[in-house]
Amino acid sequence: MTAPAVLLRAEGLTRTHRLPRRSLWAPPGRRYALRGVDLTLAEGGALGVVGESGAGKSTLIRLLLALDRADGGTIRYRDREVRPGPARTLAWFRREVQIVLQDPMSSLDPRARVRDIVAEPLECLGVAGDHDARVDEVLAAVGLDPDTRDRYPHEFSGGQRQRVAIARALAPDPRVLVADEPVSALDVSVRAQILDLLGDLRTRLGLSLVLVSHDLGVVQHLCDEVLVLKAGEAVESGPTARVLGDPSHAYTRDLLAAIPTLPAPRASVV
Amino acid sequence: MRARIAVIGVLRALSRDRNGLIGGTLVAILVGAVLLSLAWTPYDPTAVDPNSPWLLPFSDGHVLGTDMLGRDQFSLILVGSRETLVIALVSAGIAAALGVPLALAAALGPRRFAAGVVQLVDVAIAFPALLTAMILAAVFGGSVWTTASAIGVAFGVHLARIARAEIERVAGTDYVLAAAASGSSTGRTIRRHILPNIAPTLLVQLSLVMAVASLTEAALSYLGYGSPAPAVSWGRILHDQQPYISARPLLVVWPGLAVALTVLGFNLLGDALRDATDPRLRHGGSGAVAKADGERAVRAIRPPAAVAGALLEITDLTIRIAGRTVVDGVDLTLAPGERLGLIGESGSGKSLTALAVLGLLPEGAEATGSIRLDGAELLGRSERELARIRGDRVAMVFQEPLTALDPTMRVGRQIAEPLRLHRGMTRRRADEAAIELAARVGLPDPADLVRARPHQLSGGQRQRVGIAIALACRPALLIADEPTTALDVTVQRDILALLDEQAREQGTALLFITHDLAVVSSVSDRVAVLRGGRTVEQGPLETILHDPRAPYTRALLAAARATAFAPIEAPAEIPTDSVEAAS
Repeated sequence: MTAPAVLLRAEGLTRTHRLPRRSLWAPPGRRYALRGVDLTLAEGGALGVVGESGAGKSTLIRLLLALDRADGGTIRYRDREVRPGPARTLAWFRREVQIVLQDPMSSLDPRARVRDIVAEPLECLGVAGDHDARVDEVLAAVGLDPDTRDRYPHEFSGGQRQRVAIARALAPDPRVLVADEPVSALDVSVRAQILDLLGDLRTRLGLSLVLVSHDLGVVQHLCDEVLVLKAGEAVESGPTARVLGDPSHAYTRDLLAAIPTLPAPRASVV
Repeated sequence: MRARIAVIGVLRALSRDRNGLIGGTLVAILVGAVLLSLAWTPYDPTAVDPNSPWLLPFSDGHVLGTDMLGRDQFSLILVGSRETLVIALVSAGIAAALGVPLALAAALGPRRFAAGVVQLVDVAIAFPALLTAMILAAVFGGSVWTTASAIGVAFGVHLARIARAEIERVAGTDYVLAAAASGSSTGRTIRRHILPNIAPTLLVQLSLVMAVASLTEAALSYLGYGSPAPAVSWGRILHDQQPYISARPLLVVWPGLAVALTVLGFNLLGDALRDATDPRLRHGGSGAVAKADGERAVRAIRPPAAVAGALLEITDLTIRIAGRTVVDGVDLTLAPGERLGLIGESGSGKSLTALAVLGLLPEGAEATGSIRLDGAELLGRSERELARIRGDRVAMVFQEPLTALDPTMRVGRQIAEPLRLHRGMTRRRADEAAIELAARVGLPDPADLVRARPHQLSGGQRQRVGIAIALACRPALLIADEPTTALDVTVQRDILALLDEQAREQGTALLFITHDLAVVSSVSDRVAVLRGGRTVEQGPLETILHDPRAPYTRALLAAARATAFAPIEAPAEIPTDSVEAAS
C-alpha cells in the first residue's frame, strides 16, 4: 500500500489582528489569531480540528479556503500554491475545495430558492453541463427530494437546511469538503443523521474532509487525524486514536476530562 | 419568465395585505389621474372664465367648483397630479442612483477610501433639503427639476447612510461567505445576495422619499419657489387660494386632500412592498417541508395529582401563542431540594415552561392549567406579586451571560440588586454581601472584581456572576435555562460543578433545562423529557438513561450516544484503522 497523496498542505499559517493604539507614538500592538500552524490532508483522509472559542478555528478555515489573507505561511493544493485574490483566479481551487458552514439558517440566502442556492457554485465556477440536472442529482445525494428545488430555506427544518448546504458544496464535485461545526446548530436527533451523511459521502464519493469542531465526539466519529488548537497554536496533532486515547499535551488531557459523558447503556438493555 | 412569476407573487401578496391594498389603490388613483389628464380634462384647466368665479361643487358641471378666476378645480387637480408624480419619481430615482453606489463604496471599498466617502456623506447630510431647493430655485428658476434634484440629492445621502449599515450587515452574513467560497465574484455577490437583501429597506426609504418629495413640492410651490405661473401643481393651487382661505375654505381642502392621500399612499405601499417581497412572510413561514410526524401524545405517566410537600407543582400547563398550542398539558413536580432535568429539542416548549413559572412569558402568550409554588397558585397572579417572588423564592440563570447582564452596570451592583430589592438591605450592606457572594461562586479577587463591568470578564466569569445574582436571596427554586450551552467544555464542567455544589449546600431545588443528555445526567436526580409541548416521559435519572419507556426517549438516547465522545480506554493497543469503522 503506497501512502496516499497529500491534497492540502498548510505550512506556518499565521494571521494577526491589529490592536487599538495605546499611544500615538508607540506602534500598535498585534494579537495572533493563528501562529505558525501546519497541517496536511491526505487524499481520502479526514482531519479534525478541535479547540475552544478563541483557538483560531474560524481563522484557520478562512485561510484554508483563501477567503482571507495570511500574514505568514503558505497553502498548497496538490503542490500548487493557493493565494487569495479575484474570484476568477481561484476558480480551479474552488472546484476542488468546498465548504459547509455551521448554521444553515444563516448560510443560505433567505431570498434565494434551493435551486439557485445549490447551482451557485456551478454558475460561478463555470462548470459545464446541465445545471438543473446536477442540482437534482446532488439534492438526491444528500437525501432531499428534488421537488424541493423551488422552495425557500425557511420552509425546511434545521437538518434539511444543512442538507441543502451540503448539496451546494457537493455541486461542483469537489475533492475536499471543509466543514465548520456542521452539526453544532442542530438538534441531537438530527446531528447523528448529518454526521452519518458526511461519513457516507466520504466513502461513496471518495471525499477528503476537514472538520472543525469544538465537539470531540463529532471528531472522534468522523476523523482519522486530529489537530488540537489552543490560542492560535497547534498544541498536538496525530491519529485520532492516539491523540484522544493517549494525549501528550496537558491541554488535550484537560479538554478530554471536561467532556460530560453519558453513561453507557447497561448490558441488560438491548 | 421567472421574473414575471415573481412579480405576480408579489402582487398577490400585496392584494392580501390591507395596507398594501389601500396604498396600492391610492397610488393607482394618482397614476390614473396623471394618465387621464394627458388625454382629457372636463374643462381646460387654464381657461379663465370671469362669469363663473367661485362656483360651488356640482354646479354647472364643475364637480369640485371653480376658483376666483372661474377655473375648474377638478381639472386643475388632475393636471397638478403630473407634477407631483414626476417629482416623486425623479427624486426617488436620483436618491437611489446616488445613495446606493455611495453606500456600496462606503461599506465595501478599501478602508481609507470608504472612510472618505463616509465623511463626505456626513457633510452632505448637514445641508437642509428645503433650503437647497430654495437656493437652486432662486438661482436656476423654479422647476420640477430643481425641486426633484434638491430632494433627490438630500435624500440620496441619507439613503447612503442607511443602506451602508444594511450592506455591512448582509456582507457579514454566512451566506455571503458561502458565496465567496462558491467562487462568486464581488460584483455578482452584490447583485445576487446583497442588493436583494437590502431591497426591503431601500423600498421603504424610497417610498418615504416619494412621500416627502410630494410634500416638499407642495411646500415650495406654496412659498413661490415652485414651477412658474403657467405650470399647474397642487402646491401652486394652494398658493393661489391662500388669500381667499377664510371666504372659500373648501378650495384649499381639495389640493390639500390630494397631497395628504398621495403621501399616505406612498407610505402604505412602501411598507406593504417590503413585506410582499420577503419570501419568509409570503409563504406564511410555515415549518418544515416534511416535518417528522410526532407520535401521538404519550401522556402516559402522570404523576399523582397532589404530592404532599411539593415545592413546585405544574399540572396540565398549556401555553398558546397566536392561536398555536406550543405547550400542551405539561405536568411536572419538584420536591424541595430536588434536581429535575428538563430535556427537549428545539420547539419542545422547555424554555416556555420555565418562563411560565416566573410569569415571564412573551407578549401574546396565554397560559392555562396550574403552577403551584409552596401550594399557592402562580398563574393569574398580578405582575407586582410575581415580582416579589422572582429573584427571591424563584431565581433564574440564563443561557447567554453576556446579554443577561447589564453592560453599563458594575457586576457587584448587579449581584447586590436582588438583596436591596427583596431584603431591603442598605447599599453598603448589599455591596459587602455581593463580595461574599462573588467569593462563594468562585470569582477571583472578589473585592476588586465586583467593580468590573461585564465586558471585562470572561464568559465563564460572567456566568458565575449570573449564578451569584440568582443565589443572592437563597431561593427555594433555581431555574437554569441552558446555562452552559454558550460556554466552552472546560468552563462548562466548572459551572456545572458550581451549580450542583451550591444547590446542594443551600438545599435549593434545581430545574435544569437543556438539550444535552450528557449534561443533564451530571446535575439531575429526575428527568422529564419534552417533545412538541408534551411530557413524553419522566422518572428517575437512572430509569430514563437505562430503561426508557417512550420510543422518543430511546431514539434521543441512541442519537446522543451515536455522536457522544466515547473515552478510549486502552489507547496504545488501538490501531489507527479501527477508528474508520466508526464512520
